[in-house]
Amino acid sequence: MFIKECKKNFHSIIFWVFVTVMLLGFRTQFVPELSQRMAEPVPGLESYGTMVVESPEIIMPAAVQNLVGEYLQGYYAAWPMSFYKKVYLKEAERLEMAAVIEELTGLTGEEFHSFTEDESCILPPGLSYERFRELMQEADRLIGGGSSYSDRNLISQFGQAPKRYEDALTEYRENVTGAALGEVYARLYCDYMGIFLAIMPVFAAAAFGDLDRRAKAEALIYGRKASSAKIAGIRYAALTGCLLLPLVVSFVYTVVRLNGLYPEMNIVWGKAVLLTVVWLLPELLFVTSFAMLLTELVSPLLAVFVQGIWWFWAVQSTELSGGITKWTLLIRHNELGNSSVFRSGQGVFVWNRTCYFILAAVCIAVEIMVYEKKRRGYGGWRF
Amino acid sequence: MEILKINLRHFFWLPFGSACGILFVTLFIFPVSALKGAEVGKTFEMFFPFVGAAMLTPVFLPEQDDSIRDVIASKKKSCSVVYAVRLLYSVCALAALTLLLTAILYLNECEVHWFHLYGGFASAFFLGSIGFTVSGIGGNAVMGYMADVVYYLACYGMKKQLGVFWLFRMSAGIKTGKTWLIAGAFLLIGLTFGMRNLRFRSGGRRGYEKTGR
Repeated sequence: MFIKECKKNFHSIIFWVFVTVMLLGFRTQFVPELSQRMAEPVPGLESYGTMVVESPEIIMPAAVQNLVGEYLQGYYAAWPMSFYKKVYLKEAERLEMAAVIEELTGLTGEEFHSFTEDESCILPPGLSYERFRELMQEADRLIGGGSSYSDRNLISQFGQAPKRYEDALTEYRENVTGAALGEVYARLYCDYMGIFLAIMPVFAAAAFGDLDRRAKAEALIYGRKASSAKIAGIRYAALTGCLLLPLVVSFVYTVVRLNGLYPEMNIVWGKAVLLTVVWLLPELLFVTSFAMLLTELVSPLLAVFVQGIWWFWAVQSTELSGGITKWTLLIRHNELGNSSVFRSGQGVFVWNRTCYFILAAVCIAVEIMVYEKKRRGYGGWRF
Repeated sequence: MEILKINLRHFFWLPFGSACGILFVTLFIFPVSALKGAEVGKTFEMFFPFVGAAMLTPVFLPEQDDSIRDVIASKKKSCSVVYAVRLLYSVCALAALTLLLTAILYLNECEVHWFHLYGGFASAFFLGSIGFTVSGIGGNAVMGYMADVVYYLACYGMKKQLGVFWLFRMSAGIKTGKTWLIAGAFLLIGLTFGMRNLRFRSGGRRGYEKTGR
């Protein structure tokens, strides 16, 4: 039955459109990165980029300066649902915010009200980093959450320090080694392929999930001896197996090209393969199972609609690098290198992917239940 | 008139509800107050075109059900008339939703001009017509939605190749050239009607069964 289902997939236009889009995405987005080696930093450049450091000396004045600036202009930038929003405070909240700023700056209301953009705040000597973070939490609460002062954003927003040549060189030497290079490129590969993988499987899953109904073969299959778990499980396995095909092809191509690009290095691919599997497989499994469940339960159009909105939301709201959260569908790391940023969120990364893996299993289990109910004569909601 | 009434009653509300949902998400995701210049264009172009996809792609959806298709094909009136009626009210609904978005932005002190209304409608109409064509010729609405998403994705990385048919002109500060999208949409719609008629004549009533999966 598995082979039969695979053949069915291979004979479908939707499957081949999926393959074409995945490979085109790979070709246009990722392949240009394989055309030249990572550039070794040269001394004497004006800038080597920035890096994030948790240094109170950098974070505290920058954050306070920003908060005072936003207070004086009358509104605050926030991303409460990951999207930008201007927040205006009510009078009572404004007074509370003034009190927070008074403690942060050691100035009275009248004094900091007369501040201009060019003036910089001087922090009071007794202000500890711990108290500073508490006050920033308070400011974030007044704004309504999701501001630059939240615990999650404070360091990444205000802990930006310029990279020196030595830092850039150290990072380059860390990345361009046989042990690390595979992972460095695998991260960028997963970043690009993950965007397509968060939406494209839904079409195949929705179309195949609706196939029995369109072919008027539902009753015929309902009457078979095979259990619902077997039918739905094998279909799911066959579909995800087929959808993996462009990923396997593109990854093999990446391996061959990189081995040719860095011939002197013995690139270790084990970790890169593991990272790719942990990154992309739960996403594929979840998107496919979720679409199959919605198709079985309600309609293929609802599956496309819900997943389409979710995907757009995820693409718009996920930071290009380092913004890994517990529930984001898309994980992004849109750069070669900067491994420390990725490593700092590795715990959340594993948590996130494990959750999506479990969610995929739950979706497919529920789909089996729904399928079984239908076989017994209880219909879903179809429109 | 009877065709319009029946189709409105049975096949209008679901796509219209989805389109309203997309409009709601657009208002939720994108800032809608005190916008100027290209920022206004972004609100009209970055997600709103899917309203067109939601309205136009499912025009042939009822005929995916063989029984409905056979009933419609057995009537005296040509199937094309039924499709044209559905297309017409879908385009009117799309225009109404574009107008609604414009009004919302205007009331929120955004610098909205007539070309935003026209450009927003053009992008949505064109994207919708792609789904309309693919679902009409391919015989599967899911394929139509897939084509919409693929084209939308292509607009991110293929600005040069798509030329005047690039959807995000206003977001890039370009105020002209949207008429190409309207012309392209009409061309695609004409092509779809032509192809369906051709298939119907060559394969008779059962000709519709030669559809994709």
